[in-house]
Amino acid sequence: MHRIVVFSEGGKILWSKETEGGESIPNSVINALIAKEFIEGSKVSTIDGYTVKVARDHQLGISTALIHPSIIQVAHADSICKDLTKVFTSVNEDSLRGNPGILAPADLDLEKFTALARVRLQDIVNESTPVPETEAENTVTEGPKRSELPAQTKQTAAAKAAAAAKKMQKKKKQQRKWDGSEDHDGPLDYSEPADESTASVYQEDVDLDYGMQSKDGFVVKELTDELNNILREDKSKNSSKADSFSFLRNIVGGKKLSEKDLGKTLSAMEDHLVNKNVAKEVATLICGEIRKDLVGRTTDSWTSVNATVRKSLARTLQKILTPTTSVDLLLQVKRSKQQGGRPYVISVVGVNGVGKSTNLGKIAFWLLQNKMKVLVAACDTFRSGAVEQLKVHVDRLRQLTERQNAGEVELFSQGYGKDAAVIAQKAVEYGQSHDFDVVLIDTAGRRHNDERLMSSLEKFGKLANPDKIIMVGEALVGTDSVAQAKNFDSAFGAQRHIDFFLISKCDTVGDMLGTLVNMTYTTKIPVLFVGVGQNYTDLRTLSVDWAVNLLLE
Amino acid sequence: MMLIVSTALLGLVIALALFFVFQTKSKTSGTPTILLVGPSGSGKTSLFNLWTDVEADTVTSVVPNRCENVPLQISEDGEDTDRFTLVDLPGHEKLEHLTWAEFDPSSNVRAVLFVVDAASGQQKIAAAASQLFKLLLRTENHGINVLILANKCDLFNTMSSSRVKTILETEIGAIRSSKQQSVGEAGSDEAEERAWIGLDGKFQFEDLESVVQVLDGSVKLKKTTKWDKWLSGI
Repeated sequence: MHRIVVFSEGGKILWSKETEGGESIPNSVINALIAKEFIEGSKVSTIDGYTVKVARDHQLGISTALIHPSIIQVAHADSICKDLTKVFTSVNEDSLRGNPGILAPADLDLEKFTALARVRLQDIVNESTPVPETEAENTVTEGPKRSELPAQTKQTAAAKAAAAAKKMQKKKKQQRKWDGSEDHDGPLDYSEPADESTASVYQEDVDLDYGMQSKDGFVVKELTDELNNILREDKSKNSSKADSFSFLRNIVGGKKLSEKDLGKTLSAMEDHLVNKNVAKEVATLICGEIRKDLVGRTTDSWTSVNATVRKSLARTLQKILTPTTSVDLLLQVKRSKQQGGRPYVISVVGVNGVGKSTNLGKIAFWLLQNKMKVLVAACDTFRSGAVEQLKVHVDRLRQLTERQNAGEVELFSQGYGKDAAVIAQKAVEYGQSHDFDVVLIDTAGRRHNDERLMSSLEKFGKLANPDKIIMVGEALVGTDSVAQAKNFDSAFGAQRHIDFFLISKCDTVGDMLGTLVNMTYTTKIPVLFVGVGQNYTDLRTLSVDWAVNLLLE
Repeated sequence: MMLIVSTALLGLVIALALFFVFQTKSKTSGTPTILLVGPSGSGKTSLFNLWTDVEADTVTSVVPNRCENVPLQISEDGEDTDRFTLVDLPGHEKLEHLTWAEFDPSSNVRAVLFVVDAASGQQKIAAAASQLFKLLLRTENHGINVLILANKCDLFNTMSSSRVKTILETEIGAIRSSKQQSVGEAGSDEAEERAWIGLDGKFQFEDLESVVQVLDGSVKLKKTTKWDKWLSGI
């Protein structure tokens, strides 16, 4: 009930083995794992009811994933992935150093890897006796005792018999090691009478008896020795080989990068990022990623270490700032307009003074230019003058649109002191009954660490149920933006998140656009708009290239 | 002493020269290149593997796959004529900059193959249109022909190539006009011309300056005849 897959960065499955019986584990799980962990940079442990573990060798671009249904446990998944990656890259190092594009499983020594992997997996099980973790819902908790386990590696006859009896239809089960005696086809069925071995923790040890064809060619002793050599092999060995042309290599390229080479450049890069207003913690994390990516790689021809690091930084920033799905707000508003029914509801949130109302005005202006009927709801019932301020905006917008023969705009307000969530809900109802296309909701500014004010956002999210929640953050803020983004994103409850950021006051910071990186890196939420001035027209969509160039300058 | 120094210097110069020649030779730029682009899971790497004679199951790519001297043009008497560098680019949105990097001035992109999963349903195909739109902005600029590969015609729920074409055209039409009305991009001049491809009115691939066509096939069944034929014509 588990699958081990070795794959390349280019997306080729080089080796895959799955235990027989049960449903096969689809590639889509691995795809989701790669997208989340390798591309979007978020940590995942479960996908679609499967528990996933992965180890990645950046240098040779090889990863090993172990996947199994979450209802069972697999011991030592971490070390299995790590060790198998090491074994795989060591056995096939020469082939893997070539062009990964033409890498083919047929060119690799998979038989040897399988044999080594098999020995390693047995060792892992033997070496450290798994102390079974008890699952919360598991009521019968008497797991196998430490002392029982050595015997299990050769499998007690009783356990074997029990397993065989349970799985009569399956023949190849000799080397499977069951800690428990449960029926894996119906793992949640506790009603069956337990065997004498009574262990009932859902734990599976990984071994590789996947019906191997031949083990003749390899003697176990030799394999063990070789395995130990591979796993003991120190990575630093390679770097100790002095390159006599090292000084030249920095100019002509082809230099193998070590931690030492990178250290200085990376700390300079980190300082550079911090100077660009990137929070220290974020800068450190980004540089850590670059280090992982580059250590052990060879520089391109005519490229210095410095240029290589810059290139890698550019790639990383591109990845961070590019949204996962392209958001075309206007297209979505238009589609909702065609469908009729509820107006498209957009709400802005943010800390005090970041420019929520101003940017709401800009968005309204843009929608009006596109002949939309816009209702602006004044839901800042807290700060005196907030409603009047919005009224001024709406009056100006009305004058402008009447002159240009554009859309229609109206203000919805109910004074101060009332519950903002309720007013928002009423505004949406009003908008629907009066055929508005869009409802823009302005909210009160709140400090992100003020729990009392932040807690009201969840109710607001439920009652107003906005199609899009925009968080406005100012480019000036710097380090604090990390906490702001995090707290606002979590304020709407587990189900609802912020949809995107609008970063205001970008015209005031020049090239110090670190806030963009801070907010997107910590929350994985994209920046859609940037504010670049005081006029209604000073709203822009984010151009990733533009931002990356400014950040690298 | 003098002799040793001068020999060493000469040796260094020769070594550098050789190094330089070797490096420029191995550089891929300039050789005619064909790009495989499209959303994740549409079958780009599978097709790449098929054309480079690699047998391997595939998962999501994180880096491009590149192979030189791939015989993609087969003439009627069965002999291959021209060879290309084939590049398979990751489909994930966050990695799109890798695709755009292939269009730099030193490269020689001869054609782009945009792979879509014709069995992934209307919504997924429509979602692919925004990527295709960005691609077409570039190919139109460079005069590069694009073939849209409606892959997976072996599946029971697959759409015909004409249906795929209609979905993509409608969607691109909507994106095109919405982009026109959108607020400008940061960093670009307000006066700068907005991205627009095709003629006014309904968007059609036929109206584009370079050739853009949709042809169906199946990588899984190795049904690539239509695509091969198209490639022989470029």
